[in-house]
Amino acid sequence: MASTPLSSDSKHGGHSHVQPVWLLFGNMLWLMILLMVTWWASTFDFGNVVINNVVAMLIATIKAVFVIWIFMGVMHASKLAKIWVVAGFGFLFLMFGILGDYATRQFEPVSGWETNVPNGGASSFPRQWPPQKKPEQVGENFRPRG
Amino acid sequence: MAAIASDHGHGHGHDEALHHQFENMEQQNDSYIVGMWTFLVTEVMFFGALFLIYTLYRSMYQMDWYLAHEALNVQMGMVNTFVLLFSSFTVAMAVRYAQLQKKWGVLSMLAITQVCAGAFMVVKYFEYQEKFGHHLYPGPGFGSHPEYLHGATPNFAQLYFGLYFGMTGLHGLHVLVGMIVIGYLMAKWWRNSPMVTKDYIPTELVGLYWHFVDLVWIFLFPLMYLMPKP
Repeated sequence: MASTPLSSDSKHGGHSHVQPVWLLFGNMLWLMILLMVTWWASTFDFGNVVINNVVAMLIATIKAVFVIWIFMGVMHASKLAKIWVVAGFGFLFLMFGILGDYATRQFEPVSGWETNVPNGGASSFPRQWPPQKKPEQVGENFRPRG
Repeated sequence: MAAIASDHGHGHGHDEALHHQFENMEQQNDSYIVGMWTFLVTEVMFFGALFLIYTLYRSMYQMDWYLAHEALNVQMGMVNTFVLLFSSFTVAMAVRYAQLQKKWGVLSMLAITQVCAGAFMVVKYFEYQEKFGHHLYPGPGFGSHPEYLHGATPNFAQLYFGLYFGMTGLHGLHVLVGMIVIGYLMAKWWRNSPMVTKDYIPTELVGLYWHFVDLVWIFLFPLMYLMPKP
């Protein structure tokens, strides 16, 4: 019968998992180490700016996962809470899909706001690959076809 | 099922915190935690929109933003990150003590958290003061001291500082709100209010909020202070 574990848990105010001190302290130390890695990575050139940015965001994401999983107790949360958390961040990634729209359309040129990018600011993203020809039309909010 | 649940709920004297609409403490706590996460997800989307704007404009004006970001003090940013990470640990410890119903453990950990939050705001104050002194706040006077722009085009640098003040300001506001809420929670513990002593959930929910504040800073710090050279 489930009453025994529930009763003993109830002593602490319901079904809760008391995290051991070593886990919390170790997590903090690990986050501090990752912070130093963040700083070190910012001073190191991994080859190009895209990789440098990806590395920085990867380390930040690892830190975030440890905060969420251990400090925020999602590790011991119910399945409902877990799926809620994952869905929440899933929607954040969906929102970033908006950038796909900006990346594939031209900005209207605005005097004083021209970008110094290789393709002359045809797209809002200074993409270098795939290599792109300078578009014939500038000032249209759609990509020229053909 | 209901009979068993009510046995759990009222058969022992330890479930004073159980509200009548829930079958047991497990269900009640789960509802609270899912509710809190719902709020946090709205916060994630709220900050997420700002991170989206940041990503878009930084990708457009990479070099100018890199030059503008050189005005920030990395040491101060590092100190603040350390302080917030440490405060996340103390809050997690406070939640642990709340689960174990140790009043003084909770109060001491929350007090350390308050000191950390205060230290964070003091560092932020000095950072903002310096930027204001250098006329780096968005507005008509922006860039009137071009030597602090480090060669960045004023328009693009202004966009960067607009987002810098917007995002770190909003984050700072969350820190302030956190300090108020933690202060309220401490007062409840101090007075032995059954709301917190009989149920660890209020402490847990405040903890979740505080970790979220830490979470935002984990991304703000590398994005604002540690840009790689394009």
